[in-house]
Amino acid sequence: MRIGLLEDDAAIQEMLLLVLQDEGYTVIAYTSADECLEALRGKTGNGTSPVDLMMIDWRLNGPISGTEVIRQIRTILHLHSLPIILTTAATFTDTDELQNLHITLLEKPFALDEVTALVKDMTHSRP
Amino acid sequence: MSIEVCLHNLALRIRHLLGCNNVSLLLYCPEPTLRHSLLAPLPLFSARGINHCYGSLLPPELLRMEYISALCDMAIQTGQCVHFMAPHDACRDITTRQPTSSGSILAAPLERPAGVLGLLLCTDTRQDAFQYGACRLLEHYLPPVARYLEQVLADAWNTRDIWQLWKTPAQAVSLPASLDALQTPPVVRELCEFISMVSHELRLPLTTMKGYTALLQAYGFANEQSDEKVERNTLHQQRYLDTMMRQIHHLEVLIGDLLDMSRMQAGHMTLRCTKIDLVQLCQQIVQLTQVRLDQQPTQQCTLHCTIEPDLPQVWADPDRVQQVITNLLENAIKYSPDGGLIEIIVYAPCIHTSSTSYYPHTSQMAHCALQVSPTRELMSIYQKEQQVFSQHDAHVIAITVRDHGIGIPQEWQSSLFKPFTRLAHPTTRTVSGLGLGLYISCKLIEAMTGRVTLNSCEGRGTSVTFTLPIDPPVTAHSFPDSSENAPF
Repeated sequence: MRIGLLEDDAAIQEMLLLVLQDEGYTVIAYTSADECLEALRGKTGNGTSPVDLMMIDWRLNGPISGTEVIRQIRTILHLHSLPIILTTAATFTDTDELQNLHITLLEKPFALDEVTALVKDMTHSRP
Repeated sequence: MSIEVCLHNLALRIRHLLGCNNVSLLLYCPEPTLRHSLLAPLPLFSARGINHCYGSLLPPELLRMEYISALCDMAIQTGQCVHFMAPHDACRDITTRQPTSSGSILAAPLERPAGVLGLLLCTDTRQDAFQYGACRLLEHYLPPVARYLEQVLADAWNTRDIWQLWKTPAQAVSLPASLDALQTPPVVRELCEFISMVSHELRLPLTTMKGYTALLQAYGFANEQSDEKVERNTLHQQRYLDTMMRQIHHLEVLIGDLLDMSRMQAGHMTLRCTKIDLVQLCQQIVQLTQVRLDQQPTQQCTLHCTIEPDLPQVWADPDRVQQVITNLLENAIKYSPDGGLIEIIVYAPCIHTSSTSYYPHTSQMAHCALQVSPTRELMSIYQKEQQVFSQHDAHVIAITVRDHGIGIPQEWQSSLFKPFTRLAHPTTRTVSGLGLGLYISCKLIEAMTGRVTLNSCEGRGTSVTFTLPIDPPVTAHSFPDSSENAPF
């Protein structure tokens, strides 16, 4: 099971890497939104997505936000139903936007077992 | 929007802020000597102004109760919030008008220099509804709310709407069902945005600390493992603890800035000025900052400190000078996303060689890092900063913090000294912080009778220069009450 990680905070990224790898997942950490989108647009050999779930932070380095990255992901044909977790320390009030993008919100600060439980739940399988 | 709707909206927003059952905005002051002149035409009803109650409309009998009127009088006389656990018949569910078994009441005066404008009366069926935190939160925002109320009433006075207001008893107005549809008074909207921003900034370091603590709990203490595993775990532990300590420091800075801001606004901050050696102080700061930078693999900035020799000591608060220099360095680092050189230069900006000419020192310099010709360096600084200095700077020492980062557009430069303002730039969207650093630094330097100037060119970097006096000022200086400069 492969998890893509797009998180600009180095400490949080490392923390998530450690936890998810320890749970047996293969974690691919992207350093920028552009790198992430380019990787996701490319398909694997059998035409599927290179990851099985994405974790994306709302506030990213660069001009576009995490929600904008997700909008662009949803325009890619084979990623319409990719499970996506949006992490944020902000308070989201626009729940309609979250519903339209079919994402699950994970608010910071989160507990590590909250992360692993959510990932398991969204992927419906053990790694 | 009519004035009645403005006042109802204000009360409703306060209610949502406190999360209590009812908030009533009462325009009344029973004590003539304390009453604001804008309330002068208000008829004094025996029921104490119950016709001018906005927000949650209180039943008349509630305000006639001795207990409640004593609470209101106490709040007005003392100028402070007063709250009690109330007898059951005082705490009513306003919608049903049924008494509840118990509850609490909070009275908060709305006071301006010209007098008392009224009172916020808050009720709730919970006994602990107005605990210490809620009281302090409301107290902190009473001045801007009172200022807003005074403005609303003054505008109504100017347009003669005030006469209609006084003649007409307040009635329930139909407000939109959704809070979002209300036209929010600017002061309350800014208040909510401020709270949202602060909570966001505080949550970020908490996320890292929470996660790394959990990792230490789960994996930190290896038992019955090989030496290699024990050594690796020890390294992991050290790294987790270092990361946590950095986040703790970041939280300390955030909370410290908020407290400084609060103290400055209230005029409660004082300085402990003494003669200080800027050479030692700057060298210390640069060394500490460089060590911290070297631990961050993502950013490659180099610090360069140039200090003119034989500088006299300055009269300043050493802790606050350290805070200012650290703030300016942090900004320089944040807004140099590609790394590069960051300079601190300490010098005496002016020597009188004649009444009309000004030259910098050209003697040999003491360096902390790199080798740069001192004379060329100083001349370079002088040429860039000379418009900053004048004959009035003969008895000061200047410190310039300069970066070669993204710079600041001209139209942004003055607003960056306002609180909670950060430079909006695509490459620095994720820059953390509350936008208080420059504001606090400026206020601290001004309190030490220095001044701060900014010199920047978009795409080419920024230099911030501040001066400190060589001699103590004639009179002692402390922060004035800066309520007029409050953020709201």
